[in-house]
Amino acid sequence: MQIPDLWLVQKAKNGDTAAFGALLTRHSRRVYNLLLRLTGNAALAEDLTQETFLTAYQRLSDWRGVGQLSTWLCGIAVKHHLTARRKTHFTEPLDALELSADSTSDPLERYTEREAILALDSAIAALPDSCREVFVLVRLQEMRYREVADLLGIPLGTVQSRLARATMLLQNSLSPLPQQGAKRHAL
Amino acid sequence: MPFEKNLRRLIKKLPEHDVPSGLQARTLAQLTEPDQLQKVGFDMKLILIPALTLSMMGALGGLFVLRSNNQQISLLPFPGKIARTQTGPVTLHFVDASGQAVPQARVTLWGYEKPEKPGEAPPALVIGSPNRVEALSDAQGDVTVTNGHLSYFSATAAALPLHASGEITVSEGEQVVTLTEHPEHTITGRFVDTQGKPLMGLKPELYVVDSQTTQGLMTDPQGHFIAWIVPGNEYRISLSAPGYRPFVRDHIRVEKGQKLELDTITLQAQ
Repeated sequence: MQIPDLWLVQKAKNGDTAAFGALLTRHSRRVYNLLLRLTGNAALAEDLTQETFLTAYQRLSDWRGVGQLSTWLCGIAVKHHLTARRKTHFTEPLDALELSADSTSDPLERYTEREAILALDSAIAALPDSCREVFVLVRLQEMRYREVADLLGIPLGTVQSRLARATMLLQNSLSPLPQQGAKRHAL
Repeated sequence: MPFEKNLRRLIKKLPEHDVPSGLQARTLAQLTEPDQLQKVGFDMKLILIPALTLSMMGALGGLFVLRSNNQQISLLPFPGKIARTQTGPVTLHFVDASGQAVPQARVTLWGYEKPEKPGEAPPALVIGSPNRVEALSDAQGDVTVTNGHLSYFSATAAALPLHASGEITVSEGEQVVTLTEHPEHTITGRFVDTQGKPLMGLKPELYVVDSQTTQGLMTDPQGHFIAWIVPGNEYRISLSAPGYRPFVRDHIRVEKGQKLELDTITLQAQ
């Protein structure tokens, strides 16, 4: 049984760094794994995890116990990720990708479960940044479309289209051969 | 199975990565005080909703009570009423503010009896084996805990004025504990009875007047208690213990860089 986040936040707000340490221990794994998925870079994910918790410590009073603390932390993490990404002058010829996929075929059926998990892990990491962000937040973090749209500052329809595109790219990536008329996305 | 359905199933099985070692210690070492320590005045609904939700989950067994304090609502934690679930060995890794391991730290671990059912009478602190254990951190600064009844620790470095105390929060694996400078920003005291006998296991409360919050404390076998506090605030220490007259000490202030040691407090029998 855990002491609730609300209590630890209260103590941390009063300068109890041991309480904040307990929150760090409790939530750093989720935040780090989210950032690792978003960035695909372990060193950057580590730096951003640290920045996320330092920001959270400064803004603890913004979290009043409504909603999960981990969700709030993940929101801060995503914002740090977006800031870092903007600094790299990210551009992506997403529209140039021609995609088509047979919705009835399932390339994952070719693999054993262990192989499928490993292949999927690599394929997600190889997605274009904008698709990977939406895919990770919606499918892995199980956030609502509206929350993702607000967090990324994009229209709701763009969330849906990027998610559909990410799914199609994964399907193409995991297929044994490039399908006719479609560019295979590199694993 | 259609691809998307299979995809959603496999996503839940994707591997998770461990947090790089030292990340937590480095983060804690970089903490600076929040821009502004907030005065805590809660809206009723902000407290009631999560507190009632938690209570309804039955998991906390009376962890919180809501009490009116000068017409404001304070959330009062009762440490020690929770028995955590440990699923494997837990290694407490003690480091200093720079992230260096601290060997030979003197560590006290303790726990509480688990309640039979949530909502029943609160569990009692059990002093003595196996619910209170003394240990020294090894050359890597580690202490491994295999006893699932132990939930809290306090640690003091052997040669340095460093200290930490807190809760074991992981079910298994590593928890990094940063030892910080002991002498600053503490209130310490000692409770004895009229015979001069130290009173251990008492639970004084530290009330932070400025933020209207309360922190639970506990006396050790010598009757000592210690509170880590934020300087510049006003505090009150109170104690209600069965068989003794209530004790209250008001208007306690500790300025930055100071350590306040209260005189020995003799509790009068009721």
